[in-house]
Formats: sequence, structure tokens, C-alpha cells
Amino acid sequence: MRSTTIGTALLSVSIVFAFIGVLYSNISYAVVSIVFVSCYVFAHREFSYELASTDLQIERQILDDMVFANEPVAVAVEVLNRHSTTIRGTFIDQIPEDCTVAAGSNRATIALPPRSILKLSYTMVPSKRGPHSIKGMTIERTDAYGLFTEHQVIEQKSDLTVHTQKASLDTAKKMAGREHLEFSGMGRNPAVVLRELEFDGIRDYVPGDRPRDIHWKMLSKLGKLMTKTYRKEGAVQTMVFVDCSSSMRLKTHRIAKVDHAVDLSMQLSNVLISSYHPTGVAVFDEVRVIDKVAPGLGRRQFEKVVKILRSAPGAMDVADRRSGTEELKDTRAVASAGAISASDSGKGEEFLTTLQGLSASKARSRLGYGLDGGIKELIAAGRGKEQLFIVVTDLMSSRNAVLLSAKLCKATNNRMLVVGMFDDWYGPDLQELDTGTIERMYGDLGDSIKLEGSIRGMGASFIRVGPADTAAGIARAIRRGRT
Amino acid sequence: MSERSWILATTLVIIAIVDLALFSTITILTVLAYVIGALGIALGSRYSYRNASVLGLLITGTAAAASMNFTTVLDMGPLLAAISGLMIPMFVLAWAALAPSGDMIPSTPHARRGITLSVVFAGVVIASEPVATFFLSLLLPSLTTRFTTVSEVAIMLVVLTASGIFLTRARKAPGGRETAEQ
Repeated sequence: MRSTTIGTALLSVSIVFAFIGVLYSNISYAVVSIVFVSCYVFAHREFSYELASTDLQIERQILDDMVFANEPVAVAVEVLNRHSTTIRGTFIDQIPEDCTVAAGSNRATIALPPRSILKLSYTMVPSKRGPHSIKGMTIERTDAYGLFTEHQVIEQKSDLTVHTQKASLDTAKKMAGREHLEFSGMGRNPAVVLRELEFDGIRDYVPGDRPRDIHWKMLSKLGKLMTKTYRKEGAVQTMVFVDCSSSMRLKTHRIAKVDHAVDLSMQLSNVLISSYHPTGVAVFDEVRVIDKVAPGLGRRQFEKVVKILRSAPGAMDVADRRSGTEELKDTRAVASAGAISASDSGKGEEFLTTLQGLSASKARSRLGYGLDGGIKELIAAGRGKEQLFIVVTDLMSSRNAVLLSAKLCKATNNRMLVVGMFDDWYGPDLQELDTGTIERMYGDLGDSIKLEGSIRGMGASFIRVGPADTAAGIARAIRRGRT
Repeated sequence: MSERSWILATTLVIIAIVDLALFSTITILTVLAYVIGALGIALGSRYSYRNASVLGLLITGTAAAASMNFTTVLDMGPLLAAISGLMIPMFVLAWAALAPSGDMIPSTPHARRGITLSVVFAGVVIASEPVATFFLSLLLPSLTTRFTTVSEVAIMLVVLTASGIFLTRARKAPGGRETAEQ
């Protein structure tokens, strides 16, 4: 409880009067001082009682079903004063740090009478994708006599998960049916196997057969067209894994890799679903698969995918470029050492405790526990059916997990496509390059190429992307076998 | 502030000022200070501008304290004069200056209890001096004959400070929250 200017003035005058009373041997000043102190004490006790007996019921509603980054979201708040005392002060609904108020107001300065309701309605614009939380309501309380103030916080949490930008979702919807990952022309082998075919035999060509089923080698031997027939044909189940590890979440420049990964995954998933490929999505970090939806088809599948991608953790802003570079270096060092680390300030302690537990129990488990654990589970559930795993990652925190998963896919005759987000391309635009920076970037690129070689050596496909790459471009590259 | 409340407040202010004036040594400066103080309190209440009210209260308080000269409260006459001529009107003026707009009459039982407690508190502080003198006279009879005004003021201020701290102290509530004593 703090004294206001008026309260301090009243108390100061009381003290001065007390001194004057002593100095001039005049009881009148002491009596006036007693009156002022009595008022002060009375106001203090009243305010203490008001604060202790505060009984507010806060109901907050997020009026939009789907919340997008950089799009306004409407919020309505109702505050009911259930106690018999009036609450005076400024009511401020605590919006998340990454949000700004766009319209209306999240604050009101009023005296809220007993058993009455205060209504606030405003729209706020979240600037970042990821989970956000409105923690409660702050009340800058003032007492009825203007002598005291108090900063009171009433906790009433409301969570909202902000999706990526609306334009990204619109793009994903537009791409459905237009883009394909398979090439339907003659003589091209699709770079990524998307169909599960079981060879049956060869028969004469019948007009109407698909060009890709024609046995072209037999044409030179027999001089006539022959067609390959398959006993069973079905689309390969595809699972898109989105890396949400600490290195992906670190935002050093305009866009965080995790945000770009979410956009790409969403758009690629819709391309696959619209091409009748059962597709699912999983988000994972260093230690676990955070959430996933099993491969499937149908109208609702894309909505499920979008819902899962909404749960992907948000980006972490770096205070300045220097600290970001240091953190990146740390992440790189950790990734190269095969260990896992996280510097998320919010969940840091919990995260490190989890890691310590894991590293203490099983040394092997920490080598990409999240991704390879998820892939193992899917392979086991697939019962020998061929599957395709698309992993969107920056190959830093989850580098070992990706390598282990690629080895696993090769051993189990499954396919893997790694969409590698090259870290340097997501960094700030460097106007002046010094020798050290150039050498570092050269080294990074060399490392990335070596890593690509390792991944390809394990039978997986690889495509290196940057912030300018779109899902359409990636689909085109896959279709044309540039992976 | 509603019209009715303002009329009530203004009436109380005028009565209190008249009461103060009756017990004061009237000079031009005193009258001027009372008028300015009363205007400040009345207009501050009217327009819900507490700064003006409090300024008016302080001016009136200063003028009242300066224009009255009580040297003892051990005698009944000065004691009653101090209570009825200074303490009660100052309480009324303080209430008119500080009371929330439109709420001249306390609405909750707790507020009413609080006002009673404040008046009792002030009464106890004033009465502490005769009580302390009584007990001292039992223990040290010779001391009471040498009691000066400064000693009286000092006793009152010690009691004022001690009881003020006692009444505003914070203590742990059962839930662990730091709250003021109820």
C-alpha cells in the first residue's frame, strides 16, 4: 500500500504541526495533528479492509475461433464486483507481451459499485505465432479518500493459441489441387516415392494406360508397347515432422525458422492431402513428440493438421544480435557435441531437469529422442507398409536425431525427405562482411553440404531451403527430382 | 457529487467554520483563511477535485491552530474547548474534504465502524494526557506540579504515534497473505 501525494501531504502536515505544538507550547497544533492522523489511520484501515475483501469474478471471452498472427482478435471481459464495497481504480486487462491493442480499450478507470458489472471489449493484435496467455487483471486501486493506492493483480488466465499468418493458411488452401508432388509426365521418376506399388506382370498395351506404366525397355526388344501391371496400388502414408527445438525457435532476424517450418508443413500437408495421400503431422522438440495427428484423408484432416501446427511452440526473440549469435554458437556447439540443450527462459529449468533425467538414465536416448522415437512408433504401427517421412528441420539441435532416423528409414525400407533450413540464411542481412564472418559462413555451408552427403548416403532425399523458399517451390523441386 | 450531498457538505462546512470562528481569536487574516479554506473545501467537493478540498482543509487547520492557544487539557474548560471548538469541527471539515463524491454518508457498516473508531481514537489520544497525569500523580505526586505544556503535548504525541502504528499494522492472514488487521 502506497501513500498518494495527498496522503503524504496530510501526514507531513501532521508531523509539522506536532513539532510546532512542541516548539511553541501550543496544544491546538497537536489537536489538529491528532485529527489529521486519525483521518489517515481511518483511511488506511478502510483501504486494507477493501483490499482484503476484494471479490471479483472475471469472465473473459476470446471471440474469434481461429487467431492469426498480425490479425486482430476480439476479447470481451466482464468483471463482477461480488462484495459490498465499491472498488475504485483503473482496471487493466493484462494482454500478452507480444500483443498490442488495436481497437477499443483494455482499461477503464471507474468506481465499480457493489454487485455491478464492468464490461470491457477490445481487439488486440498478436505479433507472434504460438501460445499466448492473458494472465489476469491489474487494478491500480485507490482508496475512497484519495490517500492510498495499491497495485492489485487478480489472476484469471485465458490461453489463446495464435496461428501463423492468415496469408499462409490462404496459400495452403489455394495450393490444394493445384500443386502436386508427383510428376505425371513420361520418363520421369518421381524423386520421392509417393505410391506403394506391387508389381504383378506385363501385358500388351491398351490405349488409355498411363504413360508411366509403360515398360519402355521392352519396346526396343519386342517392338511393341507393353504395360506393367500392379496387383495393388495405394498412396504411401506421409508424416510431416516439424522440428520445434530450441535452435529452430530462436529468432535472430525477420522470421524464425519454426514459423517458416510451420507454414511450409501446413502447405505441403494440404498439397499431399488434396492429392489423396494420407498425410499426418507431428511437432517435436529435443526430447519428445509434442503433438501429432496420424496420417489420414478427408475434409477434416487438414483442419486437424492446422490444429496440431497451432500447438507448435512460438519463436523466442533474441534481445540483440550479439546475444543471438552467442546463443546460436552455443546451440551449434551443443549440436556438434551430440548433446541437447535449451535456453528457453520460460521453461528453462523444467526443460533442463527433464534432460538431466534422460541423460542420467539412457545416454542413447538423448540422441534425438523426439524424432526417432516418433518415427519408430509409426514404423511399428505401419506393419511393414512403406511410409514417407518429411522432416522440416535446421539440423542443429536435432541433427543426430535426423541422422539416426534416416538410418532407421533405410533399414526398414521407408523413405525420408529432409527439408533442411539453412541457418545462415535466416540470420540478419549483413551489409559489411569481415573475413571472420565470411570464413564462418563458408564453414557453415561446408558443414551443411557434408551433412547433406551423410543424409543422402543413408538413402534419404534432401532439399536446402531459406526464408524466401515457398511450399510451391519445394513441391516443384520435389516433382522435378531436384532433391 | 449530487446536489443534495453538496448542500449537506456545504452546510456542514459552514457550521464547522462558524464553530471554529467562535473559539478563535478573530483577525482579518484568520477570517480570510477560514473563507478561503471553506471555499476550497466546498468547491473541491462540488467538482470532485480533492486537491482543492485538501488544500482548503490544510489552510483552515493552520488558521484554526494558529488562532487558538490552549496551554493545557488538564482542566475541564480548555479540554472541552479543544474538543468542541477545534477537534470536532476539524473532523467535520476533514470528512467533507476527503469523502468520496456523492458518498457523504458512509454506506457500509464497516465504514461507519471506522468513523466511530477514528473519533474514539482521537478521543483516547486527547484523554491520554489526563489519564497519564492521574497515574503519574499516584506514583510521583511531586512531578505533576511541574507538568508543562510541552510534556502534555509530548504524552499525546507518544500515544498518537503508538496507537497509530498499532491500528495500521499488517499481520499475516490465515491464507498467508499480508493484510492489515481488521
